Amino acid sequence: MRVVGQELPRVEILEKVTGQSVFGADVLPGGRVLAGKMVLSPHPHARITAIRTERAERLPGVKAVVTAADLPAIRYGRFVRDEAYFATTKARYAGDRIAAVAAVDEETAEEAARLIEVDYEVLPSVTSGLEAMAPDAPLLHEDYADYWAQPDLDRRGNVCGHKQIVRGDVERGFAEADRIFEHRFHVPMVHQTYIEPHTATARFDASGKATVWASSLALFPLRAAIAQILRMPMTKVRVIPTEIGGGFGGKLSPTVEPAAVVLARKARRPVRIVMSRSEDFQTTNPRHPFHLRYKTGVKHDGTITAREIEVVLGTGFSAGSGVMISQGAAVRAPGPYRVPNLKIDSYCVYTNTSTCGAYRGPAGPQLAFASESQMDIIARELGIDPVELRLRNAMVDGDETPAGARLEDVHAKETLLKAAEAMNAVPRPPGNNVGRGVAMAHWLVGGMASSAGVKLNEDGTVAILTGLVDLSGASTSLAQIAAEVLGVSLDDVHVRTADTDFAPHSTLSAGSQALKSMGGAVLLAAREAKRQIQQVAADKLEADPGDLELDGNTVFVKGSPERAVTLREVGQMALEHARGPIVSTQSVSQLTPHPAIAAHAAEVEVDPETGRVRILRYVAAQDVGTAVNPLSVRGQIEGGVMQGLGQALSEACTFTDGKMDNANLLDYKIFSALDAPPVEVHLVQHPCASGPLGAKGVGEPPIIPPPAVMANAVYDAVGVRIHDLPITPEKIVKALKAKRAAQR
Amino acid sequence: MRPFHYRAPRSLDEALALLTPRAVPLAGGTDLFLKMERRQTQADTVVDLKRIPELDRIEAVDGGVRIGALALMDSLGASSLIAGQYEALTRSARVVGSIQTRNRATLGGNLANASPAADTAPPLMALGASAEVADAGGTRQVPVDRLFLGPGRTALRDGELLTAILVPALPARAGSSFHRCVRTAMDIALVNCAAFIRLDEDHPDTVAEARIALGAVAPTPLRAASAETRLAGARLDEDVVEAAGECAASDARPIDDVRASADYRREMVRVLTRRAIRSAFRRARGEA
Repeated sequence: MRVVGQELPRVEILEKVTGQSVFGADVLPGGRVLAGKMVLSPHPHARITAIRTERAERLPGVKAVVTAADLPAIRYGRFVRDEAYFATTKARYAGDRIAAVAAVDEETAEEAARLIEVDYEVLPSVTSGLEAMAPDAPLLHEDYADYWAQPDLDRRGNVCGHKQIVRGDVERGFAEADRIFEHRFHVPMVHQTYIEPHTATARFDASGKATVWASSLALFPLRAAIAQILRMPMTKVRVIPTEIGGGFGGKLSPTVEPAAVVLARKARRPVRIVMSRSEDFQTTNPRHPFHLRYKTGVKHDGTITAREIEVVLGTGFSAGSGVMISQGAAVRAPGPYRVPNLKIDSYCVYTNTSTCGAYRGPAGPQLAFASESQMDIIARELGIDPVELRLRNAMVDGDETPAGARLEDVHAKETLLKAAEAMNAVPRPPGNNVGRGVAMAHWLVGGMASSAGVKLNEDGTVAILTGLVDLSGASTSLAQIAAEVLGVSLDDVHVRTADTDFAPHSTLSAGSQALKSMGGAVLLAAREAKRQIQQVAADKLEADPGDLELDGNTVFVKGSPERAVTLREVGQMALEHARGPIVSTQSVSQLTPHPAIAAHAAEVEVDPETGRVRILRYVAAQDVGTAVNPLSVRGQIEGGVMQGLGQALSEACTFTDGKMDNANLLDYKIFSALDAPPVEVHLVQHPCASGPLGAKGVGEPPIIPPPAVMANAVYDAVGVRIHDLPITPEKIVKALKAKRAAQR
Repeated sequence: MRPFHYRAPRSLDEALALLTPRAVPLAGGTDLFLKMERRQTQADTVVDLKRIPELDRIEAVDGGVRIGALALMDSLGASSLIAGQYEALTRSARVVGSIQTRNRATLGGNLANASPAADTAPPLMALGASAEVADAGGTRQVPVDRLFLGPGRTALRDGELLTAILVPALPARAGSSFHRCVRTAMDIALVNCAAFIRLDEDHPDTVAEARIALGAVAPTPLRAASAETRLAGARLDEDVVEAAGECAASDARPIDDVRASADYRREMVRVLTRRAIRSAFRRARGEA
């Protein structure tokens, strides 16, 4: 291939590095923009007995105050309709929306927000999913049984979804085992911590049309949500994407957008809401906290005979996407291994926190931390090399997921061996507190409804039209695919992400499937455009369309390159040709899922006195199918590793009395460039049958193994096993002390 | 952030005249603007000190060094006047905040902000430095030891301005060091510790004088008095180092917070004190 497979800089990079890109807070909607501010519950759980807005409304400079009274009384939710946009009778977490204000400037809006008086009767609250399952736990939704929910969803009290998967006979599997291991693990809530906080700018025009500039990963679902919450037809809601300062799954569902719209409608002026970092931490869609129990039976040779797994995820005050994520967790819980006998219970539980969302690789790091820590423990107990134990059990082509889907293009063994070889290529440095760890994980990449348009311009250049927000290089890769098919260079292709009024339906920028879905649509559309080009050129060249090839911006007869027309000529001829301009819009949906494997290995040095972990080496091998743009792929992997290492070693949203303790960047510690170890990236490339031109999804897998890799490496270095993320210096020191005390 | 008046005096006298109770001096602003944003200050006037000439100078004085209050952390970390003598100060100035912060933040600001975790405070305390404080009536000196009264509170009186830090000459056979514990590379200290050791003229293994200062383990940066006593006159072997660490741990009064537990902080005081003593000792012997 000429263009696909090349390391190419991103098509939009010049605007970004020169500061010309327009991000959410930069939008100029025309007219003087009001500053919007949310009024949030300070209590994690409280009955609301009165909301008084008069003082705020009287404040000079205030142009609108809105509450639930300004919206239709509906509850929404994809799996359970349990969420109202503004709370009315009860606040269910510290951050629940009570009201919103718009004023001439930010200071006035803040002042107005403070002047809104709310009477609360504080109720007992619960932020742990496990505790929320207890019979005496405070019930978040007393009327849950009356809510609409997806049929067959098993709900009870705070449990808003229970998924059970049974394969084989787990009791028989344990009976066949020589050894049985059982461990519990805990993973706290962590936040995406993208650079750009949530923001929305809205305008409401005389025709009753709302225009929303959004920093969103999901334009079409956002339009649908706004239309639903405000009970408006979709023709009256236009969502315009801005450049996005990171999302990592945190910008898939509406947050401030409906408030901006309803404020703009009431104030008759454009309104912008920009969340503060603290609001963003407390009210958006972080990663679900997990409690996990893994029970695994193995033969002396390491063959797994059975796994019984229980996962409890705290979803927050509404089910959100937690139901889907808990179901996906059940399917991926056993890891990339063949496990003949399985019993998996996955519970999605209401808690008094913000609604958790689909943070990059949802459920992945939590499951892998538990599963891969336990694999390491088993390997050591059985005296088998940790890599060897994984190889003996790794899944292969033709194996089935616990849900019964048959997997193809599985490259688990090769990927793991690549990581192990790379790590072993350099001898371990001397020193007592140096250790190595390995972990392997998989992600299942589906494909969602997507359409793309491809047209040939009259000068022979190519335009692609989609509604896909470019999160991590998708536009460049889409351009590469079209350039490949149409025989042009990347410079001849322009990709436009249009808004919901203009673009055909698009998938989300999430789940590692953006390129699979939209790339698939672009591939089909480019191939159809190619067919049209061949038709038009065939008449001119007096050849069979099937004999024509496209390359170097020309169309020529196979074997006779002198019989050629340029694409420019074709573009012009098409206007005079009976078939008309060359343009194609194609769609895909329900694509076959493929697995994508990440195998990581690290070498660390632990300071046994302070507990500080220094990462000496980090190796990431990943099964990526065809790397459309290896530069993007490597960037995704490095970024995923870094985010994963933050979760492994330092990140956690912590709560006291239902309120987040560390909703700021001083105390919520993400990895910065200064913490980043060099990452050695190794790509395993085998074209994947179900991806466009062989590509696999690459975004999620690299964030999944790091917590397990760190846990295993720390154990190897100093002999203590941390079951509760993050693996902080403090926990290591405490564990070392306990170990020394036990040895005495 | 509330609106405020901005003043940019060209001389110290002019600045002192502007420092009314509702005015607050602005140096780098890295702490002040956060306070203003969080409405933690009632000030309605900001007096920018950056246009006053020479307030950021670092100069040799009487064998020691005089550091203008507006000297940047970055300048401090890079200064050869400091690096040669005052290793503890150099090391602390190089780890405050981020590179961006160090290009804005000043030594005077780091001290006047009176955070218990201020990284430059323990080194200056260990080095026996004093703060030069001016008001309309003249100047006085306050030992850095006695500068801090509580979180955000200093011994500066209304109308007084911190103008410089005076660090005395490093005696012969002396060395200093700075160590700290953080969660990630760019972080406020969970615990920091500076040590100053002067060795006996006749017995190069024996401590003539020691000063140990700790940060983030009490409402103010703190001298570890019992550790200092344990070290003074002692032959510095591992047992003494161990014992001094133990003393420092009992001198500390840490609390539990979102960053670390009191237990961990106390344990880190033990570890950092030992490490700080060992490195100051090596420098005092001219080994590092």
